Amino acid sequence: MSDLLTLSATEALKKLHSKEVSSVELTQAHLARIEARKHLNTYLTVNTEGALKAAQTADSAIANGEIAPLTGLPLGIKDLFCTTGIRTTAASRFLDNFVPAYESTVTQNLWNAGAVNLGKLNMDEFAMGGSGENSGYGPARNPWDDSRVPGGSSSGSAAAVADYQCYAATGSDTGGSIRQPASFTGLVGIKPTYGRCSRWGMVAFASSLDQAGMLTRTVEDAALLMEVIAGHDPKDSTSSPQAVPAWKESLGKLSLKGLRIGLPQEYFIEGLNPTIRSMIENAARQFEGEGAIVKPISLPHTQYAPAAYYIVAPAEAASNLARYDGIRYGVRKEGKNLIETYQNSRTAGFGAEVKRRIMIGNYALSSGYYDAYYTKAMQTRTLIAQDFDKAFEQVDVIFAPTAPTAAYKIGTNSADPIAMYLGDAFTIPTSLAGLPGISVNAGTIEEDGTRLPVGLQIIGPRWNEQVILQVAHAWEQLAGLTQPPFQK
Amino acid sequence: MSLETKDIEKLATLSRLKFTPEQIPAFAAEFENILQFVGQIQSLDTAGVPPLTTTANIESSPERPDTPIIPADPIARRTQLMSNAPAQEMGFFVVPKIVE
Repeated sequence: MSDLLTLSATEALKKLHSKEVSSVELTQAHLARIEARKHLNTYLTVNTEGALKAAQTADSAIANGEIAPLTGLPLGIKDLFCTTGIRTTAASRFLDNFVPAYESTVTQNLWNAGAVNLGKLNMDEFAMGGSGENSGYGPARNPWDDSRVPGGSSSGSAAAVADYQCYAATGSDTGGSIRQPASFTGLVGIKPTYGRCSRWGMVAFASSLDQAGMLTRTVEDAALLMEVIAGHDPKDSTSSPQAVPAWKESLGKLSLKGLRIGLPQEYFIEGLNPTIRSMIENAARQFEGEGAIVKPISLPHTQYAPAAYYIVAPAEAASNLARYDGIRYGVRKEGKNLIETYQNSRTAGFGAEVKRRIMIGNYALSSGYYDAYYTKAMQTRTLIAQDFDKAFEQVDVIFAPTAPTAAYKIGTNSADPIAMYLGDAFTIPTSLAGLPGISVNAGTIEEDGTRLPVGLQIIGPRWNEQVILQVAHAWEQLAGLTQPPFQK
Repeated sequence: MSLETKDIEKLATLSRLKFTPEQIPAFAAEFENILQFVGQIQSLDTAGVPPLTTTANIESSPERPDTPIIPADPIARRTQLMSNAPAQEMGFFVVPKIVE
């Protein structure tokens, strides 16, 4: 059975569409794996019946020669994407019983392409967190070492893909929530340019930053799946009308000779694990060996990015989460009047980090502090975006560590919000600037006798997902890295 | 800066949240740490820098026609949408009394 599970999505599709294997077989193999690996707490809802039904439909379609790009492929979905008739919680107890009456555009695109929904994946509540520990349903665990976090907020997505509980999973990235868990679990995680994917039907956290993406085991799979989920959607005015390039087709067609790679000095600082530092520098050197030009660059406002982010994101979150009133859906705890009913419902339904961010956001938006915090943070955001614009006049891509550390033990940072916030320091600037970024495994380091993966982050200019996918693919070939271990 | 209990209580009310008197001191201390952390941007010179609210190119975004979408079966759709309501009566949301 593990032979089927360890295929890449691309390989599985080849076998499916040549009728070597059926979608029902693949779906059953994954459902059995999910059941056997429950202790990792990856899925919040397993879509057993729905998945088997969709797999049967896919098998009939294949038998009739009606083959779409993903027909029969079993996938996992971050529980942030609304799925019609399937409970969607965003890992919040507030939404414990919420069953959407509509489908997110990203997931609809996957089903239209023939994919099978295995179920909904654990995450930090409302995507607020970098470890998965803020889930209302307990933390997902890292398959490399189950005493460690898989990163977050797409914690269940990363753990499930790395543990062979699905071929790939959707994620969402507001400040690093796809790239950082990909780094912690040895996967490929891509956040496209802001506006590349529709946000319709994604539970909103910070609307000017939220962007859907994918977690996969190979770059080829990432390119394939991104082509399916990306594209304009009339239901999201921030989604771009421009055509989605043939990313998968473009892989292997980039000449590394003369490729200009920038290493931003502000990312190679104290606080970055020195072994991780040398791994990223080594990766750049390997490209240099292939004819690429590596040059130091400066992104001078990098150090201000986390502070700006932790104003902008909570401010937007405070506004977005005002909809949870206990009247139309979700938890309801009666009070003596309407306001107290709101307060009681929200106090009962939200976890500590969500409450903290709502409070910070409302503080930053309140009349006396608006200019000092919110306006200032948005001005800082301009400076950060301009840093990247200038850098991309000199280089084609930027190499950086994805995260300052490898996966840490559950509980390490959970009592210290600021330590947790700094874990996103290398992914936040890209998010604030709306640029595409990908994390690809750079190798492993050893901590307490455990081998742990570390991510190389590749950042590209706006709308150029193609170049980061091509460079990530070239890195896969150069490094010849193995997949996450298959734990029995 | 020092936040008092009444400041936290006011912010909690505005946020439609509640903190018990026992929770407030620890929350206030943590909140002040976070404000200090995000306050780092105060040292940055941003004179004349325009704020960046979004990186989306909204000007080039196509508009869709402003027409209502009528579901094929409006009653079934309403029932489906109402099915998540914690309290409902005859197709309406039930709320606490708001007029005396």
